[in-house]
Amino acid sequence: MSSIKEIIKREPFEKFRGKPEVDPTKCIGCAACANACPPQAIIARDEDGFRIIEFSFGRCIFCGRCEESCPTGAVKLSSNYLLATTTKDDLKLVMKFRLAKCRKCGRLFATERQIEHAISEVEKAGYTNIEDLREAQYYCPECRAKLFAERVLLSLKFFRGEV
Amino acid sequence: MSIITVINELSEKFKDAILEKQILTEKFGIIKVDKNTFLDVIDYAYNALGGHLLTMAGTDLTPIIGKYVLDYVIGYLRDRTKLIVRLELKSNEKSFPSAVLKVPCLDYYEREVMEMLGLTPEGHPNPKRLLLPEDWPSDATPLNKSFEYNKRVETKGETYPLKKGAITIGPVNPELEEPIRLILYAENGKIKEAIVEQGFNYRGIEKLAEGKLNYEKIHFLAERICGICGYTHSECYVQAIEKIAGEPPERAKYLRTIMLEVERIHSHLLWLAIAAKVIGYVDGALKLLHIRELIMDVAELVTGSRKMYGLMTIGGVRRDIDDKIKEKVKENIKKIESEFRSMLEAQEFKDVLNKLKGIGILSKEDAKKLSVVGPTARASGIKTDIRKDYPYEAYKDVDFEVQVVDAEDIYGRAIVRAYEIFESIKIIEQCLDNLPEGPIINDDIEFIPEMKLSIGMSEAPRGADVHYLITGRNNTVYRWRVRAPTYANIQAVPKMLEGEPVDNALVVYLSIDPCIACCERVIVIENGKRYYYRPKFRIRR
Repeated sequence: MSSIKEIIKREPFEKFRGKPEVDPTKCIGCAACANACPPQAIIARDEDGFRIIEFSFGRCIFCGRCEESCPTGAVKLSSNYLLATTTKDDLKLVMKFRLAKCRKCGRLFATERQIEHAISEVEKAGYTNIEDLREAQYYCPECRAKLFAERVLLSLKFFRGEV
Repeated sequence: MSIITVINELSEKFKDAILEKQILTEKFGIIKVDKNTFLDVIDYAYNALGGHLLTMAGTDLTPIIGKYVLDYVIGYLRDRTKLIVRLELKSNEKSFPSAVLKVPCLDYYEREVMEMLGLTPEGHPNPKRLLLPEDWPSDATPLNKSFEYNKRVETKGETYPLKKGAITIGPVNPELEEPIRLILYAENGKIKEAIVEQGFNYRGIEKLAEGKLNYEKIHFLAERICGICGYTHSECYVQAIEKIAGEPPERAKYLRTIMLEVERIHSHLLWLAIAAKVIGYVDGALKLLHIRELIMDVAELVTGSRKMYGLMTIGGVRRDIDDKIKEKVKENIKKIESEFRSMLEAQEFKDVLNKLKGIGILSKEDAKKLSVVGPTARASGIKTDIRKDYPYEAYKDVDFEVQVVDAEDIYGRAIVRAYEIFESIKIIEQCLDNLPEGPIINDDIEFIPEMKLSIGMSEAPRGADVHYLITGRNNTVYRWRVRAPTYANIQAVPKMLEGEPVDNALVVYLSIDPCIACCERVIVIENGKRYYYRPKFRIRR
């Protein structure tokens, strides 16, 4: 029996917005797409030390907001428009990312991949003091701010000659 | 003439009755009116000053100022101004004076306020439910802020009985695309009384927008109000937001105008095809649909989709076009023009159109009284077109004519639509030729101000589409009221049907190009489950 794709010969035109294809190796689990998705076809939640990102293509409206918001280009709208299926699970994609703990307060604050991505971005920007910046990425934003404030205070004291 | 003269005239006449005057812009003002003299003020503002009703919205502002606010938006065509007559009710007042006898087109609006906010219109001749089921509990009023957006309500299963001898068409009928029910009472084969019953599809899109989404997502929801004129709805919503947040760049305005006209062409061709099918001219219907495919290709090329363009965003558009696309669009449009013109000029088509003469008459006075919009109004000799009256996007720069016919019947409505297609083609060509260079999006818009009132208007293929909007805290929308063109036009259907043979009922009803999805603002989806507020037995009956 020939498949539906063979029967329907019509090729989608250029720029067609079809089913979003996700490259799990590129995804860093930042959940920007889940924030941008108007019909909530992408849902992100944190569970037992993992961040779970769930795509339900059945609810997708093919607007392409996920593609626009993705920082790494992991989501791309393909030209595939034949989503008919007999099993509902075919229209689901679940990705799990391990969350990292803050080195100071121990809060789960971002996925490990997000931290790696941040470090590589820092390296790309060409900062010389990389080790310092790399270490800063392992602290949650609040702790990082405290750490930075402490350092500034220390240097102020140093200049005033108090240390 | 600006809005100040209108407000001055009203305040001179009514003096103490007007509690507060507020002039927002040169063309837009608000007057707050005392409840006791409200009827006289609205009568004078609408009938004596020659206004037309744009929309009416009731808002539950009890969590903020402890009041219900009813806004009657009246437009004055001759000086292109908008006036809001505002009636404020304290939270313990549960009724307001009904102005239906003075302003007949307020019928639907007041009934909607009644069921959605739980306020009774005092003196309304026919205070029936409009959108909610008949067995909906009367204390559950969905648009009150205390009502959760995903609440489920138990219904009992009671219905209003029909009078004896009623002929009903619908809600399920092969000739009707959407669920609606025409209840006809006939004498000697002529219709004596007609009632249009709707609300089979209501799923509360406005509540969803107010409860769940932020302002950046609602234009996608607005696009899904209607399958034919969705882009116009998103245009209206975006316009309302941009009036208070910031202007889009020029290039975006031109691209939006092109797509709005593309939508108009495809909608008019579809209407002509459906009308041809209903009167038995299937040959012509197929031919028209064939021509329509060319314009669908244009939509595909520019936006990446046949319908649900997804082109709109706050502050601009999401896709640009290049010279290659421009050429292809021009080529397709030329083809449409030549093919459609040759079809119009063929004797066969003329004969078919002539059959429609003298059916479904809506006189100019009635049309004015009922605030009818779009091609339905233009066929009755009223020169009204939002593109000319309240210019938006690039319409102030392009040159086109408003098609007006004094026919007052279905023939007029068909002719107006047919010739509007050529005007749309003219507009698209001008926009493509004068497309300015530059960015397509204004990135400065990030936050919208709190508690601001704004009205977005555009000319949908079926008429004036009006969105009334109040912004809320944290980039949300507090109140969003969609007035689709069919909402205004469908109130004229009983008038058109009076005295017609029963056989013509469907054609007359279809002649306004009804779009029930627009009227009822469909779809509520939450976590994968669909909530249908209307019980199933209703359709079985």
